[in-house]
Amino acid sequence: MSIQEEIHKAMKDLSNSSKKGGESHMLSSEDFSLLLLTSLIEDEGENVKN
Amino acid sequence: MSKTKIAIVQLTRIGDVIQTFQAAKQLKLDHPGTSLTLIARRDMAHGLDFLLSEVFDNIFYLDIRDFISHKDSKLKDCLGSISEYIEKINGLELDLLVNLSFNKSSSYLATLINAKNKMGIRRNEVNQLAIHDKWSQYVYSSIMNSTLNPFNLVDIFKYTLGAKTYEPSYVESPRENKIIVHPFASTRKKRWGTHKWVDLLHKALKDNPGFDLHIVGAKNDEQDALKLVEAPALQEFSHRIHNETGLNSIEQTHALLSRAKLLVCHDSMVSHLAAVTQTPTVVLSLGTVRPAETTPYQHNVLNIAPRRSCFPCQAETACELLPCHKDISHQMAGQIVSAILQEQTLDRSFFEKEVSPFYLNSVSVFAPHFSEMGMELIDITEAAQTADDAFKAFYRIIWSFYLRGVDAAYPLPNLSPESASTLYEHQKGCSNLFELYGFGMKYSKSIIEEAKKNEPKVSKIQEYIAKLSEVDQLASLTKGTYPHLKPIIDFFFVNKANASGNNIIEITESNLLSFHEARNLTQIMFDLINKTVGPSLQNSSVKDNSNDSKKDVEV
Repeated sequence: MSIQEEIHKAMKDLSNSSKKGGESHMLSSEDFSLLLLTSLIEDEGENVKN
Repeated sequence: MSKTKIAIVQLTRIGDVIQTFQAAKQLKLDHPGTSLTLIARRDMAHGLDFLLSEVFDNIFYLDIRDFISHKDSKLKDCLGSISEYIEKINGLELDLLVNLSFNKSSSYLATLINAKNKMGIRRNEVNQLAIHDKWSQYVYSSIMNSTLNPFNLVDIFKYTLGAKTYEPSYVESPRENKIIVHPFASTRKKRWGTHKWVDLLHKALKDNPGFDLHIVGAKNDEQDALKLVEAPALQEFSHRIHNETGLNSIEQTHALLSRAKLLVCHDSMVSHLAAVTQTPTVVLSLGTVRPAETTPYQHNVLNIAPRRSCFPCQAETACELLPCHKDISHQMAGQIVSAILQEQTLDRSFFEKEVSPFYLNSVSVFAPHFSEMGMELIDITEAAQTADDAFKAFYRIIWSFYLRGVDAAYPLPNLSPESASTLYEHQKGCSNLFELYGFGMKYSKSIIEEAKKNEPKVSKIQEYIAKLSEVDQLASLTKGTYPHLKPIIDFFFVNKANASGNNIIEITESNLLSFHEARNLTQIMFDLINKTVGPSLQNSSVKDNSNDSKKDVEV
C-alpha cells in the first residue's frame, strides 16, 4: 500500500470512529499527528514524493 | 532563577515571519532573560536565519519532507518522525506556546506541543477549534473576516506576546544613491502591470539623474523583470538599471536595502525586510492589501492606497478590470519618490502645491505615527475620511480599551457628508445590538437561576438556550444591515464559543460576562458615532432609543 493509500485509510478510520463516538470521541496524540500530516500535505502537496 | 521559555509558532509566509521577528525582538528587549523558540516552515524561514538567530535561541523548521522522506515511506514511520519532532520541542519544557498563525496545520501542531500555557488557535480533545486568549479571538474574528482592523500586525503580535514598548528605535546609517524596486507581489490583484511600472521608473530615473535603480525579486519573477528592463521606454536609462531578480539571497537583498536610499514596492516580503533595515519605503497598496494591517513597521514609510469603496477587496472576489490599479497615478507616485530622494517635507502644503488634485482625489497617502496606541496611519493629504476610516478609528479606541486597558484620547474624524450619513445609519444598528445583548444577559441570568435551583427544570433551561440562539441569529442578521458593526458581533460570537467553565452554570456565567461586555462596547460605539456625526444629525443615546428599537427587535 502506498503512503497516500495508507493516509487515506487512516483518515477514513478516524472519521468513522469520530462519527461513532459523536462529540465525546477523544482524539489521541497519534490522531493529531495524522491530522497534522494530512494538513501539511494539503499545504505543501506539491513537495510530497509519490 | 531559570529563564522563562516561550515558543512561537508561525507557519505562514516570509513577510509574517519577518513581522514575528520584529515583535519578538521587542519582547527580547523588554525581557532579556526570556528564552525564545521559533517554529516555522523551512521554506519560509530558513532564508531569514541571519536575522532570526539574533532573537531566537532555538529554531525548529517544519518541512513535510522530513516526515515523508521517500516514495516508499510508511505511515507508521511518518507518524514516528512527527512524534520525534514534537518530543524534541517538548524537551524544552516550555512555559508558554504562542501560535501566531491561524491555519489548520498550526492548530494541530499547537495541540501536540506541551506547554504550561498556550495562546492562539489549537484543538480541544474532540478536535474542535479552541481559542482562549482574547487577542487571538480578535485576530480570528476581525482579521480573518473583516477589513476594519485598525492595528498593524506587528503590534498585534507584540500585544499577544506581551511586549511592553511600542516604538521601533531608529538608527541613522549612511546610504548610497540607490533606489531598490520590487515591482512584484503574490497575486495579480496586488501588483501593477508592467506598463505602469515602466512609466513610474521612467519618471523616477529621469527626475533623479544621480541615482541607480536595482530591481529585486525571486526566481519566479525573472520573466516579468525582463519585460520591465527590456521596455523600449527604459532603454535610454539601461546603464543605470541593475536587474538582480532571481540572483540575490534574502540576506543579500537585506544588505542591498541597508545601503539604499529608497525602496519602491507593493505589499510584499521585501517591504517588511526594508522595515528591518529602516530603508525609506514607498508602498503601493492594491487589491486585497490592508494598509492599516500590513504597512511595514518603521518610521520611514509612505503607503499610497486607493480611496475606493471596494478597496481593499477580498481574495475570492473576482475582478477583471482592477480599477484600483488606475487610482494610483504613476505621475503622483513619481513626484513622491523624487520628493523623498530630494529630502523635501511631505505634508499637506506639499500636496497642495506640487500634486494635481486630479491625482489626489482617488488616493490616500498614509504615514505612520507611533504612540501608546501602537502604529497608526495618518493620511497626510488630510482628505476627508471615509466611513471605513472613521470606524477603524472607533475600533482602535474600543479594542485598545477592551483588550489592552488603554483609555485613549483620539481626535474625532473629519467626515465627508456621505461618510457621516453611513455613520448615522449605524446608530440604529447599535441600538438594536445593544438591546439584543441585553436579551442575551437576561436569558443567561435565567439559565443560571434555573440551574442553581434544587430541582432545575431541563425544559426551562432548553427554552432559554433556544432564546440565546435566537439572539445570535438576530445579531448575525444585524451584520448584513450594518456591516461596520461586524467586528463587535463576530468577536463576541467567537468569545462566547470559547467560554470557560466546566458545567452549565460556569459556562453561562462566562457568556453573561460576554454579553455584558458586548453591550458596553456597543454603547461606546454608539457614543463615538453620536459625538462624531454630532448634534446636527442626532442627539440621543442608546438608552433613549431603546423603546423605539423594541419595535424592531423581538426575542
